[in-house]
Amino acid sequence: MIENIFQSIFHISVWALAKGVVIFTMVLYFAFALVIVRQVYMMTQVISDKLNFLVKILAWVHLLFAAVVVWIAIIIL
Amino acid sequence: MADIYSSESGPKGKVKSKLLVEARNEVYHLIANAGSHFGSFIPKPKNFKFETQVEKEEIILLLRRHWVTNLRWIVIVALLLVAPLVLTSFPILSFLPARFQVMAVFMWYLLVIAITLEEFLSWYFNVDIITDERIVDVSFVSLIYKRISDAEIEKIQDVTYKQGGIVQTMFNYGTVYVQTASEKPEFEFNEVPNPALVVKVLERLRIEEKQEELEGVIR
Repeated sequence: MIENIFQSIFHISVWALAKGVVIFTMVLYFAFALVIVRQVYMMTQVISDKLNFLVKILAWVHLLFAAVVVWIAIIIL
Repeated sequence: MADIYSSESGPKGKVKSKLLVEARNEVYHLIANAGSHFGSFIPKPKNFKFETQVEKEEIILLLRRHWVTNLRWIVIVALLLVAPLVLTSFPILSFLPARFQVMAVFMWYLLVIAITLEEFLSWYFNVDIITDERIVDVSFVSLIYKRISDAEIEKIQDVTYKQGGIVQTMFNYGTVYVQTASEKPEFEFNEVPNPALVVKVLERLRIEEKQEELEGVIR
């Protein structure tokens, strides 16, 4: 019902709009993940510890996961 | 007299009197018996350096917030991790098409990972360092702002600590306040383990600095 009203007013499917919003949010999240990688590199420059390598790997894995989720959003939605 | 002037070479290559060596050994002895605190209280850390560390400056103590303070966000993250399981009993997202439900779960877990990473990075990289020359406070606020403050040991005027509440007493952690005559008048070592011991170490280092001054040891 609401979907039909929305479609008649905006001439676009509510789910198409939702898809756009989700993909946009995921792209923003990907940018955030990039900032985290940058942040980790900045922090490891200030403090050099034996676990720094592991922390960098964590940040890169997180970025990769964010990229995969953006890709999934584009594919399945 | 003979004791004062019988000397040996210290870690900086400067000549140290027996009194100074004893004062330093007393500091080492204090921190040696402090026990392990899962990375929150590290005496003489190996393989650790910080950006503004000068050559031959020796790190005496590396402090982070007590590991117990992490339990709050660890419990929250654990609850957030199992939260999507609730959807099987209470299908509150059932009005969404299946593909959007899958995406919602993915987005949820991304959020959980983001919270975990931020909390861990905040704990791991916000450190307080006591060296043989100064105290250093490394703070990262939000994602892009960093602040590194330091004060020389000889500029320390007063050291106190606050420990209150059941949890802090049980796990022996608290906040150490260091008043200084440097640009930053007060340093706070928040929720660090063994606050009384940290105060003692700072006191010993101040005595050592005064002794160095009396003996005219050149830095």
